[in-house]
Amino acid sequence: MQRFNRSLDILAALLFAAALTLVNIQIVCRFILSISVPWTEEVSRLVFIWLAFLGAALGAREGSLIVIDTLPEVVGPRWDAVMGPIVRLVSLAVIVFLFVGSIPLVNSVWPTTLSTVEWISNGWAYLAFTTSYGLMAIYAATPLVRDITRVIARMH
Amino acid sequence: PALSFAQDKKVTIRIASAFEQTTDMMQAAKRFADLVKERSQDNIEVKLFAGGQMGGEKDIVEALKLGELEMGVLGTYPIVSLTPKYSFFDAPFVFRDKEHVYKAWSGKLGDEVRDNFKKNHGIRAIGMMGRGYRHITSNTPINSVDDLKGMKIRMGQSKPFIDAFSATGAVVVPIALPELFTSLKLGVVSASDGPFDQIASFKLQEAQKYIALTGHLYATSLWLMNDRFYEGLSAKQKEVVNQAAKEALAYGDELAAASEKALGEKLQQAGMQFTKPDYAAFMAKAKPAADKLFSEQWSVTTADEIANIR
Amino acid sequence: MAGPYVLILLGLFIIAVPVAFALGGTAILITILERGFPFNAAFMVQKAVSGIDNFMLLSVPFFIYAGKVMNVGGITTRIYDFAKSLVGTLRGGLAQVNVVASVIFAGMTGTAVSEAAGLGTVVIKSMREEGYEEDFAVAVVAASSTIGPIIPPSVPLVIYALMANVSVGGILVAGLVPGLLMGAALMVWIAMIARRKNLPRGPEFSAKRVWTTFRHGFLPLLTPALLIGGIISGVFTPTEAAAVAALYATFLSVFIYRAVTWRGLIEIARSTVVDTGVIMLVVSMAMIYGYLVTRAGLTDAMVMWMANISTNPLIIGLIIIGFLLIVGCFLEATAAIIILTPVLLPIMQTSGLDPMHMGVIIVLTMMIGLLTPPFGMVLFVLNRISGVPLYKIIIAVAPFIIPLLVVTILLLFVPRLVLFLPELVM
Ligand code: NA
Ligand code: NA
Repeated sequence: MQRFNRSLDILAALLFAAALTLVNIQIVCRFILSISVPWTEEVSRLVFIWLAFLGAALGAREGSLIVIDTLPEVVGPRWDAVMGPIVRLVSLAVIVFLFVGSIPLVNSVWPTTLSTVEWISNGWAYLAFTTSYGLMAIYAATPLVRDITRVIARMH
Repeated sequence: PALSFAQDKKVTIRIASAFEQTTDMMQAAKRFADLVKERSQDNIEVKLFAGGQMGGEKDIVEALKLGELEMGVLGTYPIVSLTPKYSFFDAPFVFRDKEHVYKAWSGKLGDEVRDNFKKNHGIRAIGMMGRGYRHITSNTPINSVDDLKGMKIRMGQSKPFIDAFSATGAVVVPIALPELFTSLKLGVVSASDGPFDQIASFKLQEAQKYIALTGHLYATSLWLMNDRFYEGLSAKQKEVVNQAAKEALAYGDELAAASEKALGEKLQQAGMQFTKPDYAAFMAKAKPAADKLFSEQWSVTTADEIANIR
Repeated sequence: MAGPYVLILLGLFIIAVPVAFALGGTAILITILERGFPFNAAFMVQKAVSGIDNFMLLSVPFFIYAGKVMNVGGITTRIYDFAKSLVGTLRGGLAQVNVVASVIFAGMTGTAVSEAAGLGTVVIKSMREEGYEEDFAVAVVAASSTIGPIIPPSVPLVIYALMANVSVGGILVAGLVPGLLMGAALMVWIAMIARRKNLPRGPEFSAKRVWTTFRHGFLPLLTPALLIGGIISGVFTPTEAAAVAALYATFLSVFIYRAVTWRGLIEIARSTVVDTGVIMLVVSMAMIYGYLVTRAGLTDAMVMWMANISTNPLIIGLIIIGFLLIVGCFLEATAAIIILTPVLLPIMQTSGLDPMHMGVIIVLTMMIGLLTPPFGMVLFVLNRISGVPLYKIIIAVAPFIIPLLVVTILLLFVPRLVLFLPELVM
């Protein structure tokens, strides 16, 4: 799992580097070389979608998603004991629902391609969503499993 | 004879568009809404969502497929995205003029697109109305196709446009529409293409000096409806919708013709100078790009077949 | 009818479900109530993806990244030294230095949090050493960090531009004058406090020291010039400018100052991706929620309701500011901009307020929200950096909200202050 997480980190850095390179290529080609590179805009948007959705999954992994945590702060550690599992369950339900909902969309869009690069499917954009929500499901389920085992242990 | 809708279930038609409410297209849609409401004696309600409230063209097409929306007022993007083999309907330097586009749309090729929309995507094409000829705006005058050489021209993300304009020797630059004005004003690009309504609504007369009247495509607007919704209407409801659409589209065509004339004058008064380069030379330069597209992508027809539509 | 849309969302917010999933969860629940379960969720995924499918959003990771690289590259210290040589001699000198340094640093960083975190460490340490009260030092850092996202580059302004469909280049340039005004207002405010509290003066002004520190800071000081100059000369678009700034920051800190290793750079890139993803997750879920709100006709209803209260644009503007100040107490700034802009936009349009003008005001108001309890990101960051207890920071920051609010209202009443520059250069 650690190795898997580490490779996701590297992938994130690579996606950033790719976006940075693509946009700078676009400037050089237009401003300095004066040649048409119509594909950079569309491809860098696709890279961005992957970057953003992978970043979201990594954010979920390290618990840095934007949360309004005023109430938990006020209540203190007792909050997490009672409400923590409920909040995680709500998040997981949303994630799984959208994950499942995304799969037919990827399939239906897959035959169509980018307008400037014919060998890249439009489905890749939606696949970023599916991948991200799949990862988030794993990251959200892990502490929930811990919650459940704790409850079961207490019952015994 | 007064129709009675007493037995019909009340329905709501939500019409979404990326175009602003003030455009001819949405004014025609407003007319459609009023006609439908009045003639159905409030049995059919119509709600308009203009100006991209419901998202861009891509979102609206997807929503129509899924039945999220009942109706959309769009450009020709749906043909490009849903039936790419027919995207010559949204390609420059393929049609001679407005009549040529309309003839092709009402003929065999248009039938094929409509069948394809219905069978493969569950979308019913209600009809088409005019928007206006697309021309080229620029900082320096374009008197012949050679003047385009090396000129940085903004294009949307459309392969036929990119290929055709690249073939003329222009440097094609993709820029999103909200950045169009500043990019032209500041000189990131020095030319753009679009119908008068786009040129005027983005105030390009404040950023550019010349319009080359190429008319390289007569831009149109497609009115689409979710087919399952349409088929679920009663015979009377269908009749009201069909008749209202027919009248509203005709009204829209009148509006478009009138505003093309008015906007042309307005742009000239604002200081834009018009040039009229030889169109045949543009078509000749773009021909290799078009031929390649006809053989690879538009294999359902040929350049000759389209040219012979009279 | 609006009930479930607001109540479910607020309920999920309050029990601390992540903002993105609260938005998504509300959208799902409402759709189940309307259509039953299960329903085809493809439209939601489609909205979520197309909501972030925009070339202009690429500037967000680039701006975030540039700020991070500058922070670890020791560039903050160089700017601080330069600012100190300029205004250090004033009464309450270090506080004034902080404001000037913030204004300069604002030209390189896109978020208030990176501004507070970057300059905060340097400033608080140095103010402690010279005997300033700790909570005063932290308060000055907090207040001046709000300048960061007003002066270009700016992540919140880009996000607003996306949601309101206005020109990114235009709104970035529009922020420049308001940002400078904020700096001036804070300096006047600090001068008043300095006189009352009889704060110390720094060493005498020396032109030579200005020159030396300027030379040391010259290359980083070029960043804002490169950014704005590049945009208004038409060399590149705003998004491309962000990419150039990111490349330039990398070049400075890796090759010139040798303050960052390649390994360090990978970590910065990774954390940039996370920061971006966390914002975009909210954007994408807000797109689904916003779509359902519009589809149900609630946006129209809200516009009508506002139009009944008043049609005077200034009064509508004041109501928006007041509303956002309250929202800013509870909601994260970027999330609030994402969620509320689509609702506020038609209200602005019907009352004749310019969306670009109001964009700067809305973002500024939300930046004030970063300073207000109970939810204030800048407060949290400074609490972590300085170790000063949160309640002390909150009390010390409160008075600084006054000059910032004065600027906000001034901008509302004099739109030229915002719109003059973009109209001039664009
Ligand atoms: Na900034
Ligand atoms: Na706050």
